Amino acid sequence: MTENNDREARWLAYHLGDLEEMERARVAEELLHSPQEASDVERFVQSVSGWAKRPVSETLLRIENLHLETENIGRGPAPFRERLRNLVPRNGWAWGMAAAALLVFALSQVRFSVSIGDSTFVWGGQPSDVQLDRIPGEIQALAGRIQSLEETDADIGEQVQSVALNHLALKEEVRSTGSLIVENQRRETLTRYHDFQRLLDLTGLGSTYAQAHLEPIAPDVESDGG
Amino acid sequence: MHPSAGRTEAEIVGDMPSDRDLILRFNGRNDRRAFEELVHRWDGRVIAFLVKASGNPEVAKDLRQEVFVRLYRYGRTYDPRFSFPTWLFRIATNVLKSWGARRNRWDRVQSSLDGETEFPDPVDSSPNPRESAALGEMEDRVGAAIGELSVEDRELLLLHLDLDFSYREIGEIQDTPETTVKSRFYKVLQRLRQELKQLEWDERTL
Repeated sequence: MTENNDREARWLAYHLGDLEEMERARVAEELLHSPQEASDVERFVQSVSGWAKRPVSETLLRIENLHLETENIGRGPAPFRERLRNLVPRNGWAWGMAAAALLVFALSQVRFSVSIGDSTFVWGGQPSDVQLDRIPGEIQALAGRIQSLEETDADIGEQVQSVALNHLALKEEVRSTGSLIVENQRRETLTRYHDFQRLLDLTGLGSTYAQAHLEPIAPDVESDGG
Repeated sequence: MHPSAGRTEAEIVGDMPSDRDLILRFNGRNDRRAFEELVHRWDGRVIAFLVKASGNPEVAKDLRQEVFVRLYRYGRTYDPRFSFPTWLFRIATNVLKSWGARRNRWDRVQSSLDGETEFPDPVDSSPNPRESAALGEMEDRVGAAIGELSVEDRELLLLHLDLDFSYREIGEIQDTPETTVKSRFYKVLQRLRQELKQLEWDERTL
């Protein structure tokens, strides 16, 4: 196989012009001895080259199909840092305003409490009435969802149990069918044994043949016989 | 050696600037005309390469666009020690590689969404070998068998057989040693030949 592969690779190289002068002459000699195979390889190389050089559709080659808007390409998308810089205010006072707004927003999101003696002062971050009103509704929706999940869970539990029971019943059936088959085969064998013995008795060969060829049958099988 | 590694046919005939001169002019003086001239010179070969390598003309049109956009954007990274065609086709093969990766990711997403169902290749419109065998022509059979190859294998055949790049130049394009390129090239050809033999055998036994 490898030898064939090597030979084929040499022949391919010959047709593709990849061989040195001496090797080329040697392969040319080889090709003369197998004209049919040589011509197959040549046709193959020509076909692959033909595919590679096959012209593509004229419409594809039209340069106007290439939509290169060089003005836009030249600029390209602005780097992220550049775009960010455009968003940032350039004056110092604007920076200050932005920082103050950020601080106010952050404070409004945090709940503070300070205890002085028996008094506790709390400010910031308290939920609004609207938010408080929404909470019972959301709890109810969640409770409904939990209940439906529990029901689904119970259904799945029942199904799993029934599958387990079916599995047990099936296992038992396979076991009993198996023992029945074994028992039937045993009976059949025994019947054949007795039939054969009777045949030997009828032909008068019983004692001599049985002594020579038949093993005495196991007592438990014999007692079952008939 | 690729004929345009030094000068293109047009340059040999007249006093046309070389590809290297053009890309350097575009880089140095931002000469758009030089860029357009390069596009005119190479567009045909680039689109033909992309059509045959991707197996789909519609995909190839988008990829061609991307090749020239990259040429425009990254023209400054051109190293004059290398030939322009080698560099250009390095861009083209990278564009193909990115497209291949995107396509593979898409295929994986599709199969994970659809329970490992195998989908027909969404872009490769080449007829399958069994269909083409019925046509009975060697060329069609070869075309069909090539359609079954990977994009990288088709790319290799095209770079050498159509664009006449040497194994060394292909090595530069694909960032692979020359010997590896050569042995891969012959392996692809032999695999293709085995595939064709199998097709012929199937045809005879049908």
